Amino acid sequence: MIEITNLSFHYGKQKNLFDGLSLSEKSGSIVGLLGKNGAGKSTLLKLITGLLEAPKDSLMVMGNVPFRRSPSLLEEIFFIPEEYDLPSVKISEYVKAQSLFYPRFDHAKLENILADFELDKSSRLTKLSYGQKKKFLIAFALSTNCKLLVLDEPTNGLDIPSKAIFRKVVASSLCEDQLVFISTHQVKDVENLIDKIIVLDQGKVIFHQSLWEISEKYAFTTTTNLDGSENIYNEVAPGGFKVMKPANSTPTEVDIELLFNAAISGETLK
Amino acid sequence: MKTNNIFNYKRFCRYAKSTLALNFKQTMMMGGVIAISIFIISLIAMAQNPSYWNKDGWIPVFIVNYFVVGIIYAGFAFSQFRSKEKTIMSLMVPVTTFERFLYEFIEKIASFILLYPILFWVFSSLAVFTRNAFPSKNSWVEVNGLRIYPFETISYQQPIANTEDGLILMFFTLSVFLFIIAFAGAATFRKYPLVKTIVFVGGVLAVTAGYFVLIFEKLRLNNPWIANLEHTMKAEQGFLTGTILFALMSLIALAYAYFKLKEKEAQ
Repeated sequence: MIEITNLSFHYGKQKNLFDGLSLSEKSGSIVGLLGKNGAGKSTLLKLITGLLEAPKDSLMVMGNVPFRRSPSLLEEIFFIPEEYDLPSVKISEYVKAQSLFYPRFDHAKLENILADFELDKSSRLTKLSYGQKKKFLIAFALSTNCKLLVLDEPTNGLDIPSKAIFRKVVASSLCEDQLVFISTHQVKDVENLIDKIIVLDQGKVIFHQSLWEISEKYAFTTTTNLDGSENIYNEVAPGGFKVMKPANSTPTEVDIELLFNAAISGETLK
Repeated sequence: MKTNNIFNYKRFCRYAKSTLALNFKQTMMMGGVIAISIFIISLIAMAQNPSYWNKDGWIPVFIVNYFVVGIIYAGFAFSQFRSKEKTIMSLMVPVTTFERFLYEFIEKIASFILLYPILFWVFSSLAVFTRNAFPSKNSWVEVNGLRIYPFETISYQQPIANTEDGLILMFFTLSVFLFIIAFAGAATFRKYPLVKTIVFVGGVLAVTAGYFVLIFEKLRLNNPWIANLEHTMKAEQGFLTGTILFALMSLIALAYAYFKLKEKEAQ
């Protein structure tokens, strides 16, 4: 679905943000895009959605150059940016006006997700809080049934119960032909939701594996004393240490935060 | 099925319907501001020179208001690109650049040109009725016991019939050109597009005027054919030349605006 080959990109006269970045992603996954501040997560999402122009032949989405913004492609992509601006209309009016553009828009699904998020269709969008607006956009995005959903920091502004509902509705609303890209700093919010992790650092993809592969290769534990040699990475945690080491026979739950820190610390994760 | 990637009538209608629904309040507010401006300016014009209004004194009011309001209104085109957040939401809507462009052109230029004469007639007439309803001293005459109020509602028929051939068309093309310049500026600049466009166009005009002053006055490269142009060229020829020039420049400005829109990014 997404093919990125040797992508280099920079803003204006600034130095390259991406330098020879390559990435390939098929449908049927929920991908977590992680990276430090300024690593280029949002920029990568904008390039994928055609909001920024990528150099020729370096980026294809569903066989199209996204920056050409052909309606047939845009009908299959929904992007929720970190910051957004919604018009001063009721939810129902917005849905009536915008759902027309998405051929597989599911109104029943929208009703259900809005109910899950406790949003009233008669509410005016500009009167909603930041978190409520985000919940509405998530509900709308999932209801479009677009093949590619791109979510930039989707859990920012959501309260604790809403984060759990977010995970539930995303996991339960998707089909096999869909791909979800979630960029986030809040790895805890997307644990148990994402099934692939991509880590961006210094203009490149430094880690790209499925959770299944990760749990097969690595074990994540906590310990009070470090026994040394086997550890791939460790960091101090309350009461001891969090440790990442090669997997043994018993699979452990993936600690995405620890994995991310290991990846960007320069550890070679094979 | 692959849809047309330049223009699709159904998709365009869908976009127009959706944009109108989402921006209904703002569009109505803009219409209201234009209507009120016509009403107030008409009242002011009647108050300043009562005898002048009926003798086609409303025509300069009509023209000045048309140009000023039209340029400002066209400068509000592409308002969805004034902020990064709005740009993102707008660019993700599945329509082509041409459909987006055409919609803005229809809303901000074509509809204004079509509706302005009607709005002007309605709201200047309302101003006339208001003025006549509150007559000041000596603002009416009494004939056979009947009060006759001095202010009359406007009529486009006579001024059109009395104007030289080609002049109206040239003025119309000039107005379209100026609106398109403001429109192209709105497609180009993100912040304060109208101010920046006026400064830019002012700069271009100043440089052009300076160039011709240098050529004809300072360097005395005056060509007798150009110097005698006002005597050799008939008025109709002049109007036609002006019309063609403004039309050509409008097309260039439109093409520029279109490509600026096509290249739009959400940075």
